[in-house]
Amino acid sequence: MASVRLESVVKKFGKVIAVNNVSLEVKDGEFFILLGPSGCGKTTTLRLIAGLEYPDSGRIYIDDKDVTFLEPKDRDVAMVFQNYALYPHMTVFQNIAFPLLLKRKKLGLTKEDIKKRVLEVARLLRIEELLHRKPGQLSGGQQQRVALARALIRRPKVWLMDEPLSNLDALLRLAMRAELKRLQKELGITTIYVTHDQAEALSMADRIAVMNKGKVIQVGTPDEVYLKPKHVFVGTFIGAPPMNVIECRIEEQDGKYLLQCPGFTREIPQEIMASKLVKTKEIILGIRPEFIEVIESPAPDTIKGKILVVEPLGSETILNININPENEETIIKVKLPKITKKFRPGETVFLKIDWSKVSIFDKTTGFLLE
Amino acid sequence: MSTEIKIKKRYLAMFLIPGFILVAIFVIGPIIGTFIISFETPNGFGLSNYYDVITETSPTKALVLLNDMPRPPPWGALIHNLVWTAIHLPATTFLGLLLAYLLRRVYGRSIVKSIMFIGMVIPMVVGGLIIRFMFDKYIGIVPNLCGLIGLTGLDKTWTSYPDTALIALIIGSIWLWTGFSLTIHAAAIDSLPKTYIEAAKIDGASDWQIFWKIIVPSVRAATLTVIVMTMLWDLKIFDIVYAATKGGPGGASTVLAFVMWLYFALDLAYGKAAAVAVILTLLTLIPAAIYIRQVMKRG
Amino acid sequence: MVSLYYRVRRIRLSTIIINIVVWFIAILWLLPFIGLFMVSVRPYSEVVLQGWWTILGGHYTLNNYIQVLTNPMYDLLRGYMNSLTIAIPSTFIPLILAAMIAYGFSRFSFTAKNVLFILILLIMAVPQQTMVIPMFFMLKAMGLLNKLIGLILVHSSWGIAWIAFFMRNYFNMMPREIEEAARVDGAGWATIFFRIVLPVSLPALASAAAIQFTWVWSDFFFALMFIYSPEKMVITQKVVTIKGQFYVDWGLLSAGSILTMLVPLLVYAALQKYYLRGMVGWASGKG
Repeated sequence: MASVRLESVVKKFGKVIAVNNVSLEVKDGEFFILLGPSGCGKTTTLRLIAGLEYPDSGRIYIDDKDVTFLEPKDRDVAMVFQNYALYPHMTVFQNIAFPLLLKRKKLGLTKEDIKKRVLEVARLLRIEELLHRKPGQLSGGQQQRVALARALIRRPKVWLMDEPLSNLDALLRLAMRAELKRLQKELGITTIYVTHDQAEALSMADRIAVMNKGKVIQVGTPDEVYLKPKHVFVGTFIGAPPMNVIECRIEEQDGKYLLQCPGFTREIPQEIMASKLVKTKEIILGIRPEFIEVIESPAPDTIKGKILVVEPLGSETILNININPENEETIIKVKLPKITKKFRPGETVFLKIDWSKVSIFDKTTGFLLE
Repeated sequence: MSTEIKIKKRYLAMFLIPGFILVAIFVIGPIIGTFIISFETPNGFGLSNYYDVITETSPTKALVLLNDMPRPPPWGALIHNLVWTAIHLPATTFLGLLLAYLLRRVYGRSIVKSIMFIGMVIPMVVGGLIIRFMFDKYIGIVPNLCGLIGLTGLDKTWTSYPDTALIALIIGSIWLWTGFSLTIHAAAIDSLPKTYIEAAKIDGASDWQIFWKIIVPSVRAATLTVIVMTMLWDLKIFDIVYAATKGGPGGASTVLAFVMWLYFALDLAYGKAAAVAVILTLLTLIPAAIYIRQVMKRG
Repeated sequence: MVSLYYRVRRIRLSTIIINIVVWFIAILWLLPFIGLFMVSVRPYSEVVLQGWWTILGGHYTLNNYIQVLTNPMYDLLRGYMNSLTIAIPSTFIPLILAAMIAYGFSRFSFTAKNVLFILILLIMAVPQQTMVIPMFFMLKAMGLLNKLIGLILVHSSWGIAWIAFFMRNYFNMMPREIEEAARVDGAGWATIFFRIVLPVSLPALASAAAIQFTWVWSDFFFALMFIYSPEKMVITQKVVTIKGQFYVDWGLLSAGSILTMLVPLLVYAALQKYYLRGMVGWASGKG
């Protein structure tokens, strides 16, 4: 049981700043996910917590103890690697027992104790049958379980996972998501988990830290980062398809504020009116695809558009709609949950935006205007 | 921060020091020692050892002996090494490369490869003995074949005559060493994508064109390796000579390493022996420099 | 039948010619060994008169082998024992020391790294002749001249450079996650190296060991320089003494040659894959 705290951590590799002034607080027992594209610094952050790298500045605390420069073995953390990193020359049993064996004297364990603990963990992960095999004889899913077992055996304070599911095939990955989450809640181990898969993050995390270019952009629950992105990057990185972004200008005319977007112009709706907003000229308007209604006939307060592509995905349908006749590239994606009507490419439709769900970002900084 | 560096230094030292102590005492020390001894003369430090070994005219110990040319060997150990390299290097390199390419279409290629490689596995002393055996007048296959096809001048024990001893050794060393070039080149050709050759075939290239235009350029790095290693080997040659001819007859097949040993073991002239060793070492630095550059470039 | 017909028809003329030429070369290459073997199992008096190529009607005997092994004049058996006594430690001592150096080179960065690495490459390139003279006097001063242990020391030190180079290339290509996993699992550097890295690198260690062992076994020059008593001589020294000064008995000499090369050939046959990988790695620096 432990909390983890990072204070202004910086890590450079040569001239590249991999982790740029990151501060985080992970609570006791929390499932915390670091989410971001490749090269955003999330794995480096995890390795700094593990002790596999040391920061150039800043501090790292586990349970309020400063571990910044401690060796990994003195931090009481366990880690699951992307390719599992099982010891190829040892059996599954030896792999799982290895961390205990190293601390046998310190913990005062007998061989019997170790055996008991290994069997216990193996049962928990349903790999009792595999204990005598070598890692090379296991499937990806089985290796994954062995790696998890090895990370559990010591009952570490913190569980670190570096994209542990990315090497599994799609179906197994979905199953393991649920199982990992169940396991984590059952055991209550503080877990820090790195992934680039936003769906994985949304479905598993208690809280998510979205990272980009070495910085933490937003920390929040899955709902918060999905519905209230603090930065245009968060909106476009999370969600499938991601948030629609439209670059607009704000003009003052006869004491009214007009929103000028490619394809349409309208008065700023009451729902998004804010003092900060009117001071900014260039903005980005963000709206998730599911918060747009498609109407077949003209109606007030709608935007005219032409359907370019229809992507039926079974349970839902995605429409790609062009709203600017002057520019083919101005496309809005709309997600329709149920197929109420069959739309065809080329059809003219009218879009009704739910303005209460719109996010407005500053075009120059990318941050949300509140 | 500083603790991390300290810890790392301690571990690093633990890994490096035991091995490097041995290397420093028993390799680097003696190498430096050789240079020092080579300058030690009865009249203090000087270059007279070098002067003496270079100007030596006794056929068994001369480094260069090119008076009254053209004539058969002895030409001096250094010249013998150079002639050796001039014949042996291109012959084994090319033969190995060509065979490596042809082998792709040969049935039982792994057996052929193994046969060719035996020469690399056996002790070079035995290689030298076999060379003597192959060129023996009574039981050697080469003189008997020569006799059979009417080359009566060559129907003799090649290693016992000045005009044939050196060439017999060189031919024998080609026999011993071609497997190296073959193995390195075969490994390089095997690692080429199959599509290389297939694409060329579809474009209508002949086998010969594929060899020269596709294979040879794409295994350049391997060829360079073979050339460098072969040059080093040709310079270091000793065992074969000792076992087959002892540098003879009359110095007709002596080489640098052998002359060095003669100075050391027979004359007990340590300064001169060291001078020859230094000359030999400086010569190996040429291929060594090429090799080091190649390795450092690859990282 | 039809498929066989097509298969046979598909073989091109050039393929047939290539097969003939290559196999001719291969047999030519094998011929000296065949001859050597034939001479070793027949009385020399017969071979001299008939040639070893007359296979039929000859007498076959193991007398040559028995002679070279047991006759105190040749005493190859003692050579065998001496060579083994030297080759085994001279394989494992540099193997472990060089693997440690290689690991240090591969996993740590330090200021003198490039200089030390170039030094290792230079040692790989220079001939044995470069170091033997001072070495001779050093061993003499240490009382290790004409001692097997002295030769072990020389071979071990000489082998470190190339094995370190070879193993470094292997370690550089080895994924680091396994070692990182061990670090997080609580292992220190020594544990990681001896219990994770070395067992995982067994294939590379086998390659290096196969080559180093054959090289030490095959060495002649170091032995010639540092060992001079007949009872301490290694097999390569013993075999060249078989050839007499005036009269050469090729029966004995060929039997001795075959016995001398038997051990490297067996190592090669048993560890062919590792041996070839080691050879390619030594030469081209690919692990």
